[in-house]
Amino acid sequence: MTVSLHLFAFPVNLIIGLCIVFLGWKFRKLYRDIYMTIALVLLIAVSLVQGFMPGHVAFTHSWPFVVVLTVFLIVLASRLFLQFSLAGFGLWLALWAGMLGTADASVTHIMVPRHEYARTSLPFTLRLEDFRVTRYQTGEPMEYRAEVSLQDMSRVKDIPDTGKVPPKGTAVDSDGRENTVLKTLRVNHPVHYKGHQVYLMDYDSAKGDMTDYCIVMVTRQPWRWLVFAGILLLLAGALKTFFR
Amino acid sequence: MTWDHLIYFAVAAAFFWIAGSVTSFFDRRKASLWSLIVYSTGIIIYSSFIIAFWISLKRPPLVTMGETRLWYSLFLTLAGLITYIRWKYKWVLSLTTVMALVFLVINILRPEIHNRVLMPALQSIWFIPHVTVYMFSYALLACTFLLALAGLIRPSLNVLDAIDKLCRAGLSFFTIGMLLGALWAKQAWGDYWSWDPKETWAALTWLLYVFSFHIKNIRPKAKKQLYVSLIVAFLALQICWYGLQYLPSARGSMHNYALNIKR
Repeated sequence: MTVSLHLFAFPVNLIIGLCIVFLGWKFRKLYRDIYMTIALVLLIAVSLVQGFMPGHVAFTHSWPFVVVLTVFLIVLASRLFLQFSLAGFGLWLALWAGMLGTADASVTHIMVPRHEYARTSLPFTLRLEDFRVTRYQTGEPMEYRAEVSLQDMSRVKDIPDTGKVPPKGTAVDSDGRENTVLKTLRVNHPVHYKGHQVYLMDYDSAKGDMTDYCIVMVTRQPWRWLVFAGILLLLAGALKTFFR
Repeated sequence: MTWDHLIYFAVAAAFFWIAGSVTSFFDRRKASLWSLIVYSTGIIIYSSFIIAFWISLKRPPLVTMGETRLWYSLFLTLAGLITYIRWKYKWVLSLTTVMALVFLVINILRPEIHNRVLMPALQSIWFIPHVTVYMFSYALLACTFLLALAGLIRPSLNVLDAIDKLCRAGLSFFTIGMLLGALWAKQAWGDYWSWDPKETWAALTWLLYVFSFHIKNIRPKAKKQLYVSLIVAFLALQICWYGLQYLPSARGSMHNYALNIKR
């Protein structure tokens, strides 16, 4: 019942997105309240199913949910064509880009070792340089701080693998340009690198500062700016509703 | 400035907040300038404690549980003041005063939370706005729930106008709290929205309130349906707020900070 996301990778998702807009425009009679009521009730129903499901069951990735969300987007689009509203458009854009962008998004968990670069399928690789846990006087953790080197793989392909550990710090490739950067990862402070976002997730808590690795999550969401714009518009719309 | 000084500032601020709330009932027609001045004085006294505390700590007081609660009271009273200026409701200052005092009293009576530390996951610029905006919206929506109950029990009461305005403000703040959470989630968990159980129930609550609005617009005469939809929406809000921990679906929730140490 799960939607196969790879079938909807760009440009299929964009075409479907444009179809949603077209259908909203074509069937502008869907603006009527009765259709919005039906769409809302359907969306409430599928959210309720997800709400009672165990967390690991991603009902939101199943066909019924996606179809209901699409119907909702079409009905909302038809209403927006008739009467534009800031909050409505923000909501529509965030949901539209959020749903369609999922097909192009990727999430990878990587174990980053201390003494060598991690093997990844990404265009870059990482190595843990330093890990530090700062603690409160009570012994509870105050901050996790991981220093990692990120190496641009697209630029080191030609360098033969000598099996040696690359030197620490900033390295320079054959044409004299930097291909390695040193970044600090903290919880709530992801690092942006080459269109990806890198998050610190875990480490070997038994070893503390001496951990041999840290686990990072690397995400890529090419559609995230549209979702972000939708969120900002909905925020503006909510403020407008308050001050009206 | 230390925690020991809080009680003096709290008593002074509480005096002005209560005085401001009481005087706001005197003027029948408009927002009373006196209440505004008196209530703002309370906020100034209270914020001067936070500033002095900040200076003596040599870091922003954003780290421990107790320090976070300090900000709740400040933002609640500020939100109350803004709503009062905007809509001139007499009850709003009393409501936010009571809520702010609850957090202040907890902070004074339970000194053990002063140094109860905030884990790295909660140390974010989004934390306090996300939580306080939600708190305020919960308070407003709780009022609509009470009004809806009153309207259901005594149909002769005219509560529709108050419900409309409260719902508008409550849902605006709820939306803002939810979106601040979404922006934070991108920074902390890698995505704006991941249908975590808490997020799912927040979405459900939001949809149910939107549905209430919808009912009101398409069937202005259907009072009873409006009341029932508001009560149902408020029940969903209870599940979202604290009821989740009793649902088996929520065991893996990322919002469950008591269980997840490292997130």
